[in-house]
Amino acid sequence: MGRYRNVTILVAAIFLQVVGLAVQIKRRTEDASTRLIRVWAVGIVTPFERGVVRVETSASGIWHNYFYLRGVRQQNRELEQQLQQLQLEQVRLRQDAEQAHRLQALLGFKEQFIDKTLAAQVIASSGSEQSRTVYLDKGSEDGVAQDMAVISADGIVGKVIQVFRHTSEVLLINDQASGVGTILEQSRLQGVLKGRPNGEVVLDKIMSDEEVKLGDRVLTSGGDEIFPKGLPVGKVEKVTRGAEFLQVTVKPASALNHLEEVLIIIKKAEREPAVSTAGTPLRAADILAQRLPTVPDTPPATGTATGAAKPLAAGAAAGPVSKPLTNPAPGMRVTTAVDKPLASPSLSAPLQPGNATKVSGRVVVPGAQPGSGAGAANPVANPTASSKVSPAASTTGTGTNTGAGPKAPISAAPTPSKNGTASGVPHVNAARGGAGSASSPAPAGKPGTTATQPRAVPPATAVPKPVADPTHPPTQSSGSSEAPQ
Amino acid sequence: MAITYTSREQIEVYRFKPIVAGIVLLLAFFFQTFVPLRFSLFSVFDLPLLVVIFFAMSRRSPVAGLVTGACVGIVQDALTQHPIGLYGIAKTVVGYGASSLGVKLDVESIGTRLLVTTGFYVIHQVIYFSIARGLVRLDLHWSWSRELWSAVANAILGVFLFALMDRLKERA
Repeated sequence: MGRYRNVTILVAAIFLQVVGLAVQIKRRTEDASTRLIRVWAVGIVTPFERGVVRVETSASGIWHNYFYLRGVRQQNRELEQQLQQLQLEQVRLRQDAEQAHRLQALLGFKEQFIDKTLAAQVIASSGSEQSRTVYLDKGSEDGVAQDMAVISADGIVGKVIQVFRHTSEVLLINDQASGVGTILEQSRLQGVLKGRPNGEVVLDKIMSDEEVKLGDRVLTSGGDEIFPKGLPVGKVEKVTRGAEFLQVTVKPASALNHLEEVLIIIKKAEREPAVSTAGTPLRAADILAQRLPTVPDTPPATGTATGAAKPLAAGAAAGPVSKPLTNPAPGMRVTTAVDKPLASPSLSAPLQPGNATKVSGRVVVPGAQPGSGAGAANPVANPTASSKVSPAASTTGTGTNTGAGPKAPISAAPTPSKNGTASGVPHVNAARGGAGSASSPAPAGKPGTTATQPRAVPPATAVPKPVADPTHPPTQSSGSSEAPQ
Repeated sequence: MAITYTSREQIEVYRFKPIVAGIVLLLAFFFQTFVPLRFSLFSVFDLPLLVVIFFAMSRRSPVAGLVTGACVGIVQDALTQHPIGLYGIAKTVVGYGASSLGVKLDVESIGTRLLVTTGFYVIHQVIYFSIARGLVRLDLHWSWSRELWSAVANAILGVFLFALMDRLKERA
C-alpha cells in the first residue's frame, strides 16, 4: 500500500479537482446550461438503459405482434364497433367545436394548440424517492429543449428540465418542485398544481370559501405557458378545508409510476380560431342567403295530403336522430343521418352542405320529391323563402329514399336565379344500398313553376359534416315533412 | 493488521479489481434507476448505498471508503434534479463510518450485516434530510416508520447482495 501511497494521493488530488471543476463548469447548450457532472453521469448510466429498453421493446413487440394474438379478432370486432360509435360522436363534437370556434372568432380569442409532438420512451427514473424525475430517450438532437411539456395519452406528465444529447430529464408533476397552472372543469376555479413530498398532487391557491366537487376534472389552464390549455390533469380526489386555502388532492390522469411512452410537445402555436370551411365552399346563394331577411318560422301546416312530408322532420323518426333538423335552409344539401345531426339552421343562415336527418331509416331531403311511394309531390311555393333562397321541394313522408342508410347522402344545392334570388335546384344524391332510391326528385323551388328535374350527383362522403346554427333552436316535428309555407 | 473485537486474530482485508468494482457500481445505478419504472416499490431500496457499505467494510480503509462514498453519492446526485452533494456528503460519511467499523467488527456474519446496514441506512437518511432541509431548504417529508421499514428492507436485501458480492472479493 505504501508503494502506491503517493500515486493514490496524486490521483485523489486530481480527481477532486476534476470533480470540483465538473461541478462548477456548465456546458452551454442552445437553451440552457447543464453541469458537466450531470452530463457525465447521465452519459454513463443511460446507454445501458436505452439498450435494455430497446431489447425489451423489440422482444415484446415480436411476442405481441406475431405470437400472442389470442383474442385479436374479437378485439378487432369490438374496436370496429367502437370506431363507428366514435365517428358518430366525432360528428357531433365537430359541430360543437365549430360552433365554439365561431363564437371564439367573434370574440377575437386566440387559442393555443399543439402543433408538433415527439414520441419518446421513458428509460430511467432518478432512482430517488425524493426526486421525481424520469429520463426519456430523446434529447437535443431530436429537437427537445428545456421547459417543453410532456404528456401521455391520459394527461400531462411533466416538463423537460434537463436536455442532453440523446436523453432528457423530465420533472414529473408530482414532484414538489413542479408547478402547473390548472383549472377545474366545472367550477372554472384556477389553481396551481403542485407535488407533495409524499408524492401526492395537490391543487393550491384556491380560496377556502370556494366549492370544489369530488370527481371534478382538472385541466391545464395554459397560465404557466408550458402546457397548452385544456389538457387533462386529473380528477379531484379529496378536498380539505384550510384556514385560507383549500387543500384539493388530485389524482393524476397519467400513471406517473408506470410511464412507458410519452409525447413531448416540441412545438406550440397560437392562432385565432377560424371556422372550418372545409367542404363548405361559399356559393353565391350562400352569400345571398346571408344578406336577405330571415323568414320567420311557421308552424307545420295541418291537413296536408297523406304522405306529404315536411322538409325535415324526425320527431317520430326511428334511428339515431335525436335532434332533427327542422326548417332547414331551402336548397340545403342533406347528406346523412347522424346521432345529433343539426341545430336547425334558419333560412337566413348560410347554406352549407352536410345537414341531414333521417325519418324511419330514410333520409329526408328538403326539396326532394319521391317518385315512388304514396306521397304526393309538393313543389314548394314559398314566395318568402324564394325571395332569398329558392326553397327546396318538399319530401313526402313515404317513399323518399327508402332504405337509405345513415350514410346515404342526398343533397339539394341551390343556385341563384336570374332575378337575383336563389333558386334551389336540388341535387339529389341517390341513396344506395337500400330498398329504394331517390327517384323523380324534387322540383325546383321556383314558385309557380313546375318541378325541375334535379341533377343527380354521386353520394357524398360517408361521414357528414353537419352545420349548426345557434340562432335557431331545434324543433320537434312529426314523421312527415313539409316545405315551409 | 489491526487487532479487533472479532473472533479472529487478524482482520482480513480484501480488494476488488477496478473493472469489477466499476461494473458492480454501474449495475447498482442501472437497477436503481430502471427497476422503479416497472416496480415502484423498488424505490425504497438504495442499491448504491449498499454497494458503498459493502466496499467500505471489505476494504477496511477509511480513505477508500469515503472516496467510494463520495463518488457514488455525487453520481447519484447528478441523476436527480437536486443540488449535487446531498447524497455525496451522506454517502461519504457512510463510507468512512462503514470502513472504520469494518476494522473493529466481524462483518462477515449475517447478523452483523443486518444491524450495520440498518444503522447506516438510517444515518444516511438523517444526514441527507438534515442537509436537504438545513442547507438546501428542500421541503422533504420525514417519517420515522417509513425510514425504519426502508432500513430493514435494505438490510435484508443487503444480506443477499453482500453474499453475492463476496464472490468478487480478492484477498489483498
